[in-house]
Amino acid sequence: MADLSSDQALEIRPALPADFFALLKPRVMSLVVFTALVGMIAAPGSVHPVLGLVSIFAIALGAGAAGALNMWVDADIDAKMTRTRRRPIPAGRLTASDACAFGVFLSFVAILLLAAAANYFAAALLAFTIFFYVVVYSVGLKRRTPQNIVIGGAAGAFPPMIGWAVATGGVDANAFLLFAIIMLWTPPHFWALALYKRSDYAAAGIPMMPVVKGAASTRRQIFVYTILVAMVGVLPVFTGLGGVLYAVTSVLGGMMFILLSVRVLTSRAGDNPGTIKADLYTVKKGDKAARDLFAFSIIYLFILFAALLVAHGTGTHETLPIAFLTGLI
Amino acid sequence: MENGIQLTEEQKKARNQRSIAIGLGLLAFVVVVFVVTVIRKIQEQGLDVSG
Repeated sequence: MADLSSDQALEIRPALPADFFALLKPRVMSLVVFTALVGMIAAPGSVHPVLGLVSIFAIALGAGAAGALNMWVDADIDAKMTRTRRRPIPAGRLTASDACAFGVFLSFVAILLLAAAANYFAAALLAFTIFFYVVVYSVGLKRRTPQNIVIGGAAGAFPPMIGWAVATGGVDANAFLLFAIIMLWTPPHFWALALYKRSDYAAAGIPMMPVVKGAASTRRQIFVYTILVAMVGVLPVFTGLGGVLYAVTSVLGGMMFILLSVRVLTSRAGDNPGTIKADLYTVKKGDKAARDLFAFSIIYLFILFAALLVAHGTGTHETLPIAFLTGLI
Repeated sequence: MENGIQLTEEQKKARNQRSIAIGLGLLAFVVVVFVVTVIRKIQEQGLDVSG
């Protein structure tokens, strides 16, 4: 149970449905819904619209279930971090066992629903994603290694692949490409946040990169991963998955992403842990470059997938002549 | 059976809200499974339901 004495602002009241909804991490769930939808729309197969809608709902439910189980596992560290101490468990509105039961129940519902609405492969992939996020990332990696989010990033990268599997019954190189984009995007995204929330993570004992290796090393690694994701982000143009709109978006977005990572590289972001605030975007002096990179990383991923959604969803997608990898996949 | 625990009005209100949410959730689940089953059955019979 959380120590509530240190935060007088916390409100203790009986659990409401909204508290259970908060366990699902709605903000993460919305990103999962979006990327899974893009995977489903961009895939070559076709899906009955109602079954597609139910499948996306099942994937969202699975992501929410994983979020609830993550909050069950992380209840102790959530209570120590300003960013997470108002979550239902550390705030005392729900018990950890409530979250566990809720998460397990929703996991089964989500997997069964996806099996019914789509296919067994997509359902198995969703089951593996929940397992990976809860057991491999939350239990295994998060508290043990600064590479936690590098490997754990796979959990967030699976949804477009699941969406792809819903439409086709399997996965191919393009599905792996969407997976790779999100996986490589995860380190610069979370390390930028960790740079200006460093003392928060340190207080909770989470070995995030800036805590273990220092800010300078983290800034260099952010730069390297940003270069990688910007390059891999363009690859769908060469495999035929991305058309003109995607080509323009991925090139311009990638350049902006790299530019902001250079700003972080040349800044002193994270050097002074200092005082922190609960707000996700509030930074102290010197950390602005990291905050800007964190904010843009979300925009980058959104516009990249939105470009695919628009082109494939409206039927305006055309493979470019430079898609020389089309025949290889 | 009386167990000696007296809920406050706030607790009763919260319990009612949770009960309603569970009821609506179960209803939605039944409807979704029914719709999915109907569509899958129609698809199996080779009828075009894509609109």
